[in-house]
Amino acid sequence: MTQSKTVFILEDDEMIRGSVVSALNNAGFETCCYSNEVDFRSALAEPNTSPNVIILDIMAPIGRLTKDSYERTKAHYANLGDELPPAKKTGLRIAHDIKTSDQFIGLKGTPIVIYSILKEDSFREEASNLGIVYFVKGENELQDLVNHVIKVAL
Amino acid sequence: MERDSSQRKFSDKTLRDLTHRLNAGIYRNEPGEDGRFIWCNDAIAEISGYSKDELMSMKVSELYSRSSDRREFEQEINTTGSVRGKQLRLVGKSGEPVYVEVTAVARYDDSSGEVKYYEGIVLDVTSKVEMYRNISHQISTPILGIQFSTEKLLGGEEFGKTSHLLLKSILGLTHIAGFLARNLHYMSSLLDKSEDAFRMGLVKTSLLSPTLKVVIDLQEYARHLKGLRINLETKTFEGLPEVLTDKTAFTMTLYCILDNAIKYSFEDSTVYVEASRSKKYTSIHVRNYGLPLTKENIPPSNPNIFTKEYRCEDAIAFMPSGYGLGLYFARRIMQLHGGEIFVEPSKDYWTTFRLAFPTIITTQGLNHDSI
Repeated sequence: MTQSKTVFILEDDEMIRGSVVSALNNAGFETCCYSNEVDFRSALAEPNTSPNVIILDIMAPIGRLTKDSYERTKAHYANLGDELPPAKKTGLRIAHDIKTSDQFIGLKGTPIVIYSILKEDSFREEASNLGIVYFVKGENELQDLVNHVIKVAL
Repeated sequence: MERDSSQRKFSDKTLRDLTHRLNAGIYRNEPGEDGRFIWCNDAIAEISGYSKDELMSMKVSELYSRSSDRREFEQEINTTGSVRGKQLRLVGKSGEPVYVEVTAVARYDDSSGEVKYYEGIVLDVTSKVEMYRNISHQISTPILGIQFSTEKLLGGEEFGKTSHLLLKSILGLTHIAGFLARNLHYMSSLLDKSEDAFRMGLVKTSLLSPTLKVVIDLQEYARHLKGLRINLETKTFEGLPEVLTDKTAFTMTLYCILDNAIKYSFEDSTVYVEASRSKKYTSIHVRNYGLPLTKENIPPSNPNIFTKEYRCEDAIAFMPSGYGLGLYFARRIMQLHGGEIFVEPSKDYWTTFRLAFPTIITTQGLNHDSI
């Protein structure tokens, strides 16, 4: 039923990523995983990218901690004349861009879930204002997340 | 009589000065939604970020992040006559949350019996609250990993498939729990500025054995986390004089510095731990290859690197989780040793932090000194 559906996941923690992937694979989903913002945005910007659901960690690093990735990321933001964005609200920032930026125009309607360890009301409110579901790791069971993905992917 | 009066004047002034010098905020304010400060000491201004003039002209309720919190506070104190150690979430002038513990009493009008004003003491516990929140965050992640993999195993999944995740989660949890078990009371004392609780027991010690212990503790963790190696350059410890140190406190300091080095190193690189000595200092150096610290990131351009909760822009962007406390703890402990912590701008991505203990001068003096 859900075999051809793909879920894009941004999660920097290997343990949690592994668990989410395994649970979604067991439910019949394909998964594409990314551990940092730069790689995730690059994947989303690829032509013909059309995930059925997007799961975002609220705090994820901007890039990999390698010399190459560091230099590329710094150069990218320097060219834009911007400072590096803080990692505290990565998931919300990406979700905001997907919902509002022309760069991701084909993805505006894609269901997005924030899967976060942070319980702050302000984050939940911000997600709600973007029309995004906010799951808290530990508070919500992993199966709750999977059930939600099944529901919105159909 | 004259003597008594001058003594009282002296006492009044001393008390007033003391009240303003205290770390604790002391205040008297009016009740109600529109209640204002009648009086407050300098610490209230320091805690809130507002000047005393600004505080005196604003409503007390404006300091609360939610007006309902002020109403709840008043309801409680009006019912019981006092509150003790009540934690409140205020909002400072910068807009950042400020967590405080308030102990206060209500004072009543003799004739009407209504609350005339509140008097209280306010302690800033923001650092502690943030630290516990961070600890909770860091512990939650490996616990979730253990929970997920255990559920899978109980659901009949093969151990081989889940073992990597489970073991890595256990290693992560052991790392964090081990650090907290050894150091939480120190961290708490340092945040309270109650260094007396430290009871530093300075004894002449060789730095090699505690350094070796920390390196061994972190080696496997660093390898599994990001393929890092930690090289302890034992040759540099040869002939190193003993220094006056509290072994446990030094271990915590080195742990903080090495943990930072691991966290901010580029993947698959090497962290070096070395020793050196000069006339003034006997030092441990931790050198890593990773996120650089520029001249602008470190003193004298940026004195904040050793202050509580400060993290550099690159660190926040590339490594979201972190307390911003390690360098603060390390410097406080080194200062309690009569030593210092030094950092130089990075060269070609190599950064070195140096923990410097005062060199003990013996009657024989020191050979091969270098400055």
